[in-house]
Amino acid sequence: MKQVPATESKLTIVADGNDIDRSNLSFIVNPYDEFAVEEALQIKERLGAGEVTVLSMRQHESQKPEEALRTCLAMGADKAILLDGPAFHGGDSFTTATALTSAIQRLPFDLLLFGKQAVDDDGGTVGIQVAELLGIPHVAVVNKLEVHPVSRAVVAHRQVEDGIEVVEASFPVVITCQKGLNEPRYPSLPGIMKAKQKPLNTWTCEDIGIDPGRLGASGAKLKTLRVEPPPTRLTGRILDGDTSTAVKELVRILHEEEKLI
Amino acid sequence: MSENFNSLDVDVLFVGGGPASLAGALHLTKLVARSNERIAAGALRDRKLEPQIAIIEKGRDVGAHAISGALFDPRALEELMPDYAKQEFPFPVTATAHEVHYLTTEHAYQIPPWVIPPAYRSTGCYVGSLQKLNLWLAQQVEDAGVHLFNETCGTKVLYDNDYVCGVLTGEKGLDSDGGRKANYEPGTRIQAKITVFGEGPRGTLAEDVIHKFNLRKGKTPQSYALGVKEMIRVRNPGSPGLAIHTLGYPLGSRVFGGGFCYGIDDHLYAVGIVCGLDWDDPRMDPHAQLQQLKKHPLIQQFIAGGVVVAYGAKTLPEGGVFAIPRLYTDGALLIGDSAGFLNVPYLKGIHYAMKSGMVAAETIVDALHSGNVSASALSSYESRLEGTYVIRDLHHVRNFRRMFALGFYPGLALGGLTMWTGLGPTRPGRMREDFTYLQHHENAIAKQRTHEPAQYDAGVLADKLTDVFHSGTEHREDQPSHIRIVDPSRCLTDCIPRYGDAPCTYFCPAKVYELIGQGDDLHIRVNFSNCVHCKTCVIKDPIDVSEGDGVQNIIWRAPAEGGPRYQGL
Ligand SMILES: Cc1cc2nc3c(=O)[nH]c(=O)nc-3n(C[C@H](O)[C@H](O)[C@H](O)COP(=O)(O)OP(=O)(O)OC[C@H]3O[C@@H](n4cnc5c(N)ncnc54)[C@H](O)[C@@H]3O)c2cc1C
Ligand code: SF4
Repeated sequence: MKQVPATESKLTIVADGNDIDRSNLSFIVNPYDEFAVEEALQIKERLGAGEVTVLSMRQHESQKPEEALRTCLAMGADKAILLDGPAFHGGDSFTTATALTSAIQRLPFDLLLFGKQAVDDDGGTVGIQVAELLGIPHVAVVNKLEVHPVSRAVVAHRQVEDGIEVVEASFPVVITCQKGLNEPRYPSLPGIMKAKQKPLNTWTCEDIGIDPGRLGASGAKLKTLRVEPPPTRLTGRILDGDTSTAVKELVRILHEEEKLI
Repeated sequence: MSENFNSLDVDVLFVGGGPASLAGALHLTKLVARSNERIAAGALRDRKLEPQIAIIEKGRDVGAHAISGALFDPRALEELMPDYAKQEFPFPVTATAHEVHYLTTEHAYQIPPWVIPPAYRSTGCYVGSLQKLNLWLAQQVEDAGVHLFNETCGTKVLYDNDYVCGVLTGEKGLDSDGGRKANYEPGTRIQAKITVFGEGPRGTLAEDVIHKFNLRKGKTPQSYALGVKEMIRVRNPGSPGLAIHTLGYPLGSRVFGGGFCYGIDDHLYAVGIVCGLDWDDPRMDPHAQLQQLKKHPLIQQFIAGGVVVAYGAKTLPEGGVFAIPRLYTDGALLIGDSAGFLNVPYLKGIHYAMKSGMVAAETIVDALHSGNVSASALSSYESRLEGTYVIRDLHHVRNFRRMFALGFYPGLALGGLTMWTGLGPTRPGRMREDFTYLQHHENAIAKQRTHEPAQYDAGVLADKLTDVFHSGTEHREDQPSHIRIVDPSRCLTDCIPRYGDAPCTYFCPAKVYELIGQGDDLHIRVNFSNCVHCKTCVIKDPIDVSEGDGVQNIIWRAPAEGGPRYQGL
């Protein structure tokens, strides 16, 4: 689970031009990761067995992933783990996947659920890379999931261009979650109270036995050269007059001024 | 409606996570700790207190619905946390100079600083955003063991035999018809021994309590102003610490109020305008007035070439000391703007709100010790408050706002005089509710001023919808609307003939109300998802559907989900 800047954030770029200014941002649980947490809780409720652990990593000092983890605990997760320390800062999707993999190897699991992507950098590869590093199967961008505990397998549906692809895979397996999978629940007040008592553990790179050199900037395969804002949105224009004059004017503008048709 | 609620028991519940509640809850934890220490040391013979204290806030966090100037007078904070400056206090900038200008269309005339009484000069106040102050206080409050529930809206007051005994929070996951979606979450009955209403101006639940127990008996009705504000980012070095107040243009003499421009940091200005809601012009549009103010050369010299990055609007209670209701009833207290502690000429409410919460905390500790939460036990809140600067300051300026009922220029002269002297009547005059100023005009169309059509450039001048975008406000399109027009036909039979237009489409700062269609199809559309929770519509809606009972055609209830997501206002 990744904590990301709230979707309505107005981003500005820091002076040296290779990152966004994170100092005044509000953060939220990545919306696709909410689908993953909700799915895990529903599976546990359906099966009447199992344990839901939420894992996150502090990638920037300004993030407050504890808050996001508490939200997941308030939704109903059983425990939370935060990978924390300067070694985890910076880096790219590969170092993130490397760190998560080391942590996951210290936990028992059958099913690993990820959001299909984080809405801040829209990379969309961390879950898949973790599956690769663990040497287990993955099914990406899933919008319906059946879990069969007896045969220890899942049947996952993914929306593809002209239909639905149905994939079967056996435990342990990585699933990345797409919108439509479920409607994430709201944390209830009693849930928020209970969450305060649930375990939220912090693990450093020593705890997960990983060499800091493989993390952060030194382990990254990608380097950010420059961050630029998207072009500013131009103001819209409302064409006056009745439909027929407005349409004529529109065609004239598209043809003569914008040269689009 | 569902009878299936969650429930939660606490000792003290603060409704609304503004500076009043945050300071009140924090002070309460400190007073409890102090009294427990004295008990442990044998200095006090009583049982130890371990109260469960909770705050509910409808915003995503306590900063999301926070909007203010803000010039912050640290008076209450100095008392609450004497070492605040060492606690990562989030306001690095203080006001270096406080200027008041009288504006004409083209010019600005600075009012000589010596005309302004020392107590009203803002030099030395901190300049910054209320959001930051709230988030910082919230951290201290949570560290002190208070339960802070964000995204939790109080939708109903719980009564037990005329005792207030908590609130019900809103159900989430409803669809537009009120049906339950897959992720439906029932509301929670939060039962509390003492419920403290700090909902800000015109609190939905606070007003319910005020009405039910007739707490305004013998007081003047509360009157309000609407403040609209933008944050403007400039490329050139800004002027941190700049604090300008303006009078005159663009409001002129017909609307009570004025503008402000504060330098927040090296690249950021806060520019806003505050307009008394007792205007009589049905086409008065505070958002358009703000754009006019921004075009004035005095303001342009700072913001030219900048871009708007944030926008918000909220009302302020301006009725002063005579409009403060009785502040207590069985099981409940009123604090902050919900009670109306705003000093109009000083344009400050934050430190009064905080202080009122802190004084409430003193009364609460006593009540928890005695186990008596009746109105008579809680009445000491009011008497204590009378001995503090909250009531003293408001009493001093009691006639300021009222002088403007005599007209703007005499008001300016006399209001100014009362600021210096504190003289004038000590009994309330007759004040009317704001909506009646539109209502009672025989010839309201004649009251209309022609407003020059605004030209917007999407940079430093912004149209209303662009500003709504900058407020970050959002309500699920498929959630039930929190705004209801009781009798839509009255829009056509009352407003259109009387005003030739629909005033709500002008006064709402978020373009929630839109007059659409033609002929038989003419009607008001309610774009509730644009709403920024300012409460102007319930205050200014001129149609009284109950014939005198104070129920207006627009009903606004705080929604269980959504609202603005202000950034740095
Ligand atoms: C434009 C503008 C400029 C101002 N400038 C200054 C200034 O420079 N200096 C100054 O000192 N003061 C200024 N003020 C006044 C000051 O902001 C207020 O007096 C102060 O914020 C009041 O604090 P409060 O805690 O009483 O209420 P608020 O700050 O209004 O907080 C109330 C909180 O309660 C929440 N809430 C409301 N109803 C519910 C509900 N039913 N359930 C759950 N939560 C709810 C709201 O979301 C909000 O967060 C200004 C105000 C405005 C609008
Ligand atoms: S609908 Fe009412 S409360 Fe909402 S923004 Fe408009 S005037 Fe304010």
